[in-house]
Amino acid sequence: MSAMPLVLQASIPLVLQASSGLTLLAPKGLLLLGLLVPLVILYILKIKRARRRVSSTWLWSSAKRDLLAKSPFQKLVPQVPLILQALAIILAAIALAQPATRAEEGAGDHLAVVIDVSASMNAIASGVAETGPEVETRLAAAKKVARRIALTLPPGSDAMIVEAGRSARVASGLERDRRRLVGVIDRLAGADVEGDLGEAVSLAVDRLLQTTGERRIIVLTDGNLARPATFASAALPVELLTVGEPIDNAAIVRVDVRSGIDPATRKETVEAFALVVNYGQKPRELFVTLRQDNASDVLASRRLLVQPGERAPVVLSFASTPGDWRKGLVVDISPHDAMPADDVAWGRVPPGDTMPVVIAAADGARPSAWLERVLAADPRAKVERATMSQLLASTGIDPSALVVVDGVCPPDVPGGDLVIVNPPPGPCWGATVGGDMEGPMVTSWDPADPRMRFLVLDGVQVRKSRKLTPDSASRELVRSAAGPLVVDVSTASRSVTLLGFDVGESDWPLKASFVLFARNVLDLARTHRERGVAGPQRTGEPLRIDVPGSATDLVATGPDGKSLEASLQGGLAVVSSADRAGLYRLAWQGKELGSVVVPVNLTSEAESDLRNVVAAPATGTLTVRAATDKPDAHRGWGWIAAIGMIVLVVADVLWSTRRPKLAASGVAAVPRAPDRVHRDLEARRAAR
Amino acid sequence: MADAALLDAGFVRELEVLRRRLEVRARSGGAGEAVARRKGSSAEFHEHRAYAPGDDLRRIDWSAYARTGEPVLKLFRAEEDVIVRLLVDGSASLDFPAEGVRKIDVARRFGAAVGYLALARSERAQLLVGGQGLAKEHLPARGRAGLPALLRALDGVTAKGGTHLAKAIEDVVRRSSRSGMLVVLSDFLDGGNVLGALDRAATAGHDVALVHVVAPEELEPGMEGDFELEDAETGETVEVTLDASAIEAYVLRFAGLCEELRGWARRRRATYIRIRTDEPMEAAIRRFVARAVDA
Repeated sequence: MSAMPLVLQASIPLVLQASSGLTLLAPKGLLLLGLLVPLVILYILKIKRARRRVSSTWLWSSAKRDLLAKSPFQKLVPQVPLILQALAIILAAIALAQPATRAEEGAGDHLAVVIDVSASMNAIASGVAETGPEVETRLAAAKKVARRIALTLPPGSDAMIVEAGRSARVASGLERDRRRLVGVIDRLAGADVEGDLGEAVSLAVDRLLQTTGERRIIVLTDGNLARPATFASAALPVELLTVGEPIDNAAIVRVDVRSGIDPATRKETVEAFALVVNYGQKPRELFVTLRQDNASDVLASRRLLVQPGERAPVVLSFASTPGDWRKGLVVDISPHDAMPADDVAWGRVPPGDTMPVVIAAADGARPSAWLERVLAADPRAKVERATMSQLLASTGIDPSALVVVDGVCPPDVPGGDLVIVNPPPGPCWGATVGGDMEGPMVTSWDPADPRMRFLVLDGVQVRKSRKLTPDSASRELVRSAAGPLVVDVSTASRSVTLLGFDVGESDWPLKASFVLFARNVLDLARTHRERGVAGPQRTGEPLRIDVPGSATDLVATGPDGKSLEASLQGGLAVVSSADRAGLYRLAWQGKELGSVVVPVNLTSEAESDLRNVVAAPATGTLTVRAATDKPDAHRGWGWIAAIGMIVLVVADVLWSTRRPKLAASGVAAVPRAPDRVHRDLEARRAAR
Repeated sequence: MADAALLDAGFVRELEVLRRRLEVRARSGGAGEAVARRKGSSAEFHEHRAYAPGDDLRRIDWSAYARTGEPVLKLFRAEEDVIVRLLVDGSASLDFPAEGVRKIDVARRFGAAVGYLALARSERAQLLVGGQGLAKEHLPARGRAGLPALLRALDGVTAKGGTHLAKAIEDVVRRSSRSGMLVVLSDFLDGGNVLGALDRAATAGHDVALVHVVAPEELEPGMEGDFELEDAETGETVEVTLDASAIEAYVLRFAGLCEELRGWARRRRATYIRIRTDEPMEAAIRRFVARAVDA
């Protein structure tokens, strides 16, 4: 768990060297070193020697000089027992202190370390729900464990590092260089994404299966496993080490921003809906505030008392002006707690509730009155008439406006969703317009399409229609026996509907289905206008943003202001990496230059529920345990010290009791002639 | 009885067997009963030699001349007067070991045996006692009649005082007008220039025999522990820790002393007998008579 360093330091009193991992499990054993003091004192004290009368001390004096002369360590020779006994005491003390190194038992030849870098790993590891730079995250705890594993890698073994975010990534291939592994581990960073450990383990298994020898996978996670079964049945042994402790957390798990007309004031109002959940054991009093991005003024706030496990919806609203449209909004709950990423959610002020509609016809012609009338009938639509020249030349058209062209098929039209009515023969977007079909009978339509929702076209009479030949990718919305009448020719960036006939040449305007069709088209355009982004707005997923087809030079920046890689194709901008929750900004150049703010949120209950430190069931290939619960992972070295001590004690005994090598024992030795003439010299000196 | 203590009946019988085998290599120059190596006028035939003008006609072997027709001279060995000097070390170091047979006792008994061998051959034997020099010089005794006096003198030798064996030997050499056999009975635990003194004795024509008396604990010290060793002669003390290393060093030094004496004996064609105090005397006497050099 991420609390490993704190707990480890508490349980292991003395860590001698973090890099080597040598630890004394029982440092009190070193107290035995105190015996050195009396031992040395015993040797320092003058020995009381027994007096013995011998025939002559002449040879003994010579022998004593020999004893000192033949050793390079003259002063130590008499102290050999002291040295042996002191070393024995030191080794005994070390043995009692139980020196040990943290090691992975049976680490194997090839090891894959899968590190969970999902959003929950950025939560604090343990303790009270406080945040700050000094608080250690679960990811930091996991990286410490991973570093220890890398540093204690047995000689000859190699390891690979797999990063388990929204998708799996091999951060380091099989590597024997411990420093490189540690460097890779240090560079790992958490992401505000929902992780998928199963995919990472599968990736590790695939890589390890390409090798031979003993293979093993270690997964470092906070234990919040969405799909434990995916690797419980892995082909290789998987050891799951959990970091972090269950901890209370409150989170915003859903956010939505809508605009509407306040019935009381008749003013346009923006409403931010947030769902706050208390994943804790105690009630939480929270303040939910709404403000614009880069603004300190609070637009709205609410105080909530959320009971444990309760899901509390809250709506914050404010009156918006056209200047607020499409700006970023920040929904924040305070105080912040164990996981900062889910304490804030981002949204965007929707553009106004009134949908701009531009209806145009060929120069000199008038658009269908039926169309103009049915669109203007919607109270939330504002219809403007324009000629094609005006339409194509205008730069003031709302980029999300619904554009309806009648009798022409322009290849490039500004605005949002597009409806082309009665196009002239020739290619037109994703279809080819042919000659006329006389009296086509409606035979079927596609009710699953939002534009055809609730429609019944039975009995609609069309006098004449263009023959439409859609491309394979296009969908036929309304079909007749002679061919399609209405075709969807949408592109990646905009919805385009192609009607092959003039509605005035049919009785469709006289039927309710015509009104419903117009409303459906408006609603779809309104939806696209409000969202402005195609696809999910969750972290970990690629962002797909609709931009004008003429957009060029796209620049994307993340929540931290750093530029991101983004691709632009056919009016669709794609940002592949959206690992951080926040507001992303895209700006583009071109004929219709502009920018857009895209809110991206975590909103993952699985990641926010930090109580959910669920241990996956252990199976034949899967073992689960907390990283701190690894006492058996110590490799003790006390036995070496104990053996050394025994050897020294035996050596001391042998030294003390060994028999001298005498001539009688047959041991060859070179006799040394005794020292002479000193007496003569003394006599001569005396004579002088 | 001092006589009985030094020489018992069994030992004397052994000595009687050995007495004719004792060879004294010294040339005293005076006529005597001992057959010398040089040619002389004794009754012991030595060799024939062709006659040369000027030879004494009385020495011609006429019987050989009758058989061969060639005049040859018949030569005989000379007979010399031999003196055996027994220099017994009387220093305190021979008053060991404290238990069992002391070195001084072995030295006196060995001296008595050698003296008996000499006197039984009608030679002269003289006892000299060494100490810080030549401590006492007894009168020479001759023939079996002199044995009691020699034994009494030996019985009176005690181990006390210091040693200057080199000076004692030199004193003996200086006072000896004629060379003879010089038997030095000592433990040779003297740091003085003993070998130099022995060299001078050998150069002076003395037939030197070294009798090295040793105690078993001197060969293999049985002590262990921390001791303050006191020299019996000088009172000097040496502090030693008697462990295996110290004992090994001492034994090597003692072996060096023995090797030094042995080497000198070989070099000077002298006799070196090392006798332990717990060793039977008879075997040592036999080696002495054989003029051996003990290994």
